[in-house]
Amino acid sequence: MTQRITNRSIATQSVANLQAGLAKRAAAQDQMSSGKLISKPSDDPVGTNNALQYRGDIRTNEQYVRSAENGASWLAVQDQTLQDVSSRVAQLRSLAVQAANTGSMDPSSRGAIAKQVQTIKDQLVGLSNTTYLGRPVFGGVTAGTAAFTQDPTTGKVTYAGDDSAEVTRRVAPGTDVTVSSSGAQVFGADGSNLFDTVDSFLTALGSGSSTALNASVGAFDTAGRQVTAGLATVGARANQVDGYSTLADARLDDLKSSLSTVEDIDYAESSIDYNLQNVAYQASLAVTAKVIQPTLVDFLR
Amino acid sequence: MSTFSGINLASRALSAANKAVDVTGQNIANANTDGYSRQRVEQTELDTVSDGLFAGRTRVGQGVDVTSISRATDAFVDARQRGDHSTAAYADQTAGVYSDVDHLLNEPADDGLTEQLNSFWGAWKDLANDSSDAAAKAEVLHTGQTVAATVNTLDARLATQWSNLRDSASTLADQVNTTTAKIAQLNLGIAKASGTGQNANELLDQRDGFVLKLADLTGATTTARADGTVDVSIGGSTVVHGSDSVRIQVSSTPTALRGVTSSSQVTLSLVGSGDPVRLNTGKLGGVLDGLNDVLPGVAQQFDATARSVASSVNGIYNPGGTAGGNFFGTNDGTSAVSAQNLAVTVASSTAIAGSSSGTKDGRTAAALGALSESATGPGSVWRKQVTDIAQKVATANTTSSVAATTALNSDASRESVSGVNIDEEMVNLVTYQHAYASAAKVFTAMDDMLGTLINMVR
Repeated sequence: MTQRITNRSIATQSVANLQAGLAKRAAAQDQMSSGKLISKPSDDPVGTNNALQYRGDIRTNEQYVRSAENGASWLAVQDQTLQDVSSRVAQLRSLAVQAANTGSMDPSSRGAIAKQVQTIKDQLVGLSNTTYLGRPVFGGVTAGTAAFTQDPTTGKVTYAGDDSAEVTRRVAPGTDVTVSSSGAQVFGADGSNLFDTVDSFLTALGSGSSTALNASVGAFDTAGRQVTAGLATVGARANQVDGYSTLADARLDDLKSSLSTVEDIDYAESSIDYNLQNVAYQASLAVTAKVIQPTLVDFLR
Repeated sequence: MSTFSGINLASRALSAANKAVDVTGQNIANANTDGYSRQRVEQTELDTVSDGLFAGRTRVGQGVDVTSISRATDAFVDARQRGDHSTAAYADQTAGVYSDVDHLLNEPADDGLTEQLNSFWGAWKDLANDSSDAAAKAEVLHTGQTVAATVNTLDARLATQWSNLRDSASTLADQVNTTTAKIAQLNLGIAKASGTGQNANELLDQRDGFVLKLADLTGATTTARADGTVDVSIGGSTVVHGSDSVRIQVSSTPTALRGVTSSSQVTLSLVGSGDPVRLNTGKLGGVLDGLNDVLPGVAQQFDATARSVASSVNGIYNPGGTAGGNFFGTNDGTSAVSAQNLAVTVASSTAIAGSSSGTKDGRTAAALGALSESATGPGSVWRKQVTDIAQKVATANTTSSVAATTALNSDASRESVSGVNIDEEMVNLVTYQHAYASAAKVFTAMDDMLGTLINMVR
């Protein structure tokens, strides 16, 4: 059947076409003005899915960077403290060597050394209780404020930390890096810790026994090695944290550019698209204006 | 054949041409009237009724007679138009319901639920790094409350959308009732006109217009009767029978989104008999689908997200399930968590524990923060639901635009049969004008001839 065309059907069709053209132009304009490809989920269901995933991943990686920074600070504090401890131990060892070598030393000279040693011990107790953001860095997960406590009468120092868990920082998916060092490991277990060694040295200085003084030299060697080992561990962990932080930063850049690809418009492409839609709309306006005008009436005179 | 029959013939010709011009005028006048069907003068030649004894051998016809004014329609095209319109109205309504949900999701956005959850996990991770920090605890509480509030808002907005849609169901049912009453009234007029042999073209056009409107609303189907009237049924129930119409009503329950269940749905029935009216097309059908399927379905998805948030967080925060020890709970005293009642039940930020008791291991907070990495965590549950809804919306939009194009095509088909073409009418006008002028000329000729005859006799 031949379609009979009426003036009204031309008008209806023209209006429908103009509407479609205008809708396309409005969509292009909407994207241009918002700068977003996806303004609601149905614009691109798959893109929405990716965008939401990227947003989650971005926040997670930002958090990895934050946690890595926090961990790095913990480790930096320990590194600095252990270097100080290491130099104090070296100082103690040279004092022990001095006391052991000069067997002829009189009690007053030994007393002078003992005073120095006592000062260094106090410094060491202070260093062992170094805190970062209110938490003792050698105390493990203790809820208390100190890693080591000193008996006010005997001067004996014992470990007060809690090593039931390690202080960790999540720096990558499923990867936790330990950022604490156990005081019991670095300074030695109670009964044979660095402070006990210092106490034995003080006793030896009091008695002047060269055997005991020589034993102290050896004990400080062992303690020094322990501290150095602790320093090495802290350094290795700091490197690890640093590496993960760089990784998370790089991943963050990737994710942000992926999110932008999914969510944001390409201005060059969008403005071309907008202009095309605009030209098409204007053309259909012009043609419609010409088409709906003439009828036979215009020619009957 | 009598001497004066020629004058009679000319008179009939004048009258026929006059009527034809009138009808052409009517067509032109209604060229842009919605639902108008173009009319045609049906004329036939009159022959002499003289087979008597003295009938002449050379008989001339008696001229022309206008038998009727017909209306150009095609019942098949009209039925297809009604069908396509109801499908398009249904698809458009469904797409509209989905489109509102689409906007309501507010994703992907910097203040959408996804980002709120991300902030929540971030707050836990910060607390894990410093498990006694009061600021970190306050942040956990604040972001947790924001998550709950965002879920509550989603649900509240969905409930409002449902109520608005329920109101429009009533409005549409009223429109259906007004329309069926009009159809019945017009049916009566048509029956009267056809009974007395009058032309009922305008009434038929109006009636068909209302039937089309009813099809738009409900997908109404018609059965034609011999006297030109139609019976109309919607959803399997007859609502117009000749000049009688039956009203429909929307069920009074359920009154809210949360009241909708598989056994309690918004339904239609006939007033009086209570017979059910089951619609699966038309605008009203789309509204009912939205009320009974689409929105409750979305609400269930919101609930699933709320439950996922509550259960995954509580499972880590309060693994022993100690009474009153949960992070998330409800704000309405019930035990079942939904999007409507999700709330943070921790009394204050100082009560938040991110560690095992007596230590600062930050274990609990770290495990909660790690939910952001979980492939089955709340974030991923929500993401899947957003994607799922988005796909449904996109499908509904496509279906709607296809149905709209089909409806436009069937409009064009109807217009092709019944529409007025101005050019055609102008041609007819000129033709009938000439016919009138010629008939007048015949009359003048007859007059002259009679004059000649009379003068001859004198």
